[in-house]
Amino acid sequence: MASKVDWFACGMPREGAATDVPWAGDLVSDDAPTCVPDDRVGEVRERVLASGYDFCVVVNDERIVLGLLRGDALGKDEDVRADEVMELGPKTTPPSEPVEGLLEARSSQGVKNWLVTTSHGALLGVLSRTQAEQAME
Amino acid sequence: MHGMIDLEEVERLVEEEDGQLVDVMSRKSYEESHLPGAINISLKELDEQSAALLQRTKPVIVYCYDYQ
Repeated sequence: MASKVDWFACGMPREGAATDVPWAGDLVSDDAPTCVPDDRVGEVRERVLASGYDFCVVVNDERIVLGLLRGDALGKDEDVRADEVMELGPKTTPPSEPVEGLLEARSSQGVKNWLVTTSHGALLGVLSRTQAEQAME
Repeated sequence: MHGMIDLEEVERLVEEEDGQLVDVMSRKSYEESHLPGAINISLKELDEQSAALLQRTKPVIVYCYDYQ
C-alpha cells in the first residue's frame, strides 16, 4: 500500500500511543461553507452569513481546495464569480498534525482556523483555534 | 501476487477478505501509531518463523512509514 503516513494523511483511524494526543483531523468540523469556482459572490455571501464563519472555502467537484473567499472578496459585486476574487491556494494542514504543535508553531500565530485536507488536497473540515485550545486544556 | 495498492484497496481487503495488516517498522514506531488491527513484524524480525504468524489463505498487506 501507499504508507502509514499516507493513511493518516487521509484522516483514517489509528491505534497506538498517538491516540492519546489529539491530531487536527480528530477535531475538524465539516460545517464550514464551501462553494465551487463558478458560484457567484452574492450567493456565497449569503451562505457565509448563515454559517457563522467569516470565510468560504472554494473547492472543486472532488472537494479539492482551490481557494478561499473572505474579507473584501465577499463584498464584491454579487455577480462576480468566486474564482475571480478568491485567494489562490490557501495554506492547509494535514489531519495527522498534532494539535499542540499547531498551536505552538510560529507560523500559526494569529490563525483563527486551519483548513484540514488530505494529502491529495481534499477538504476534510476546519479546525478552529477555539476547538484546538479547548482540546489542549 | 504482490504489488502496490491504494488506500481504498487496503480498506476493501481488510473489510471484505479479512486482510492482515503488517507494520514492518520498529516496535517503537508501531507502538506510537499504526493502522487499526495491524500486527508488528519489523523488517529485522521478518523471517520464516515470524511470517508463520500470518495466515497464508488471507491477503497480507505490508506497509512502512513512507514511500522512501
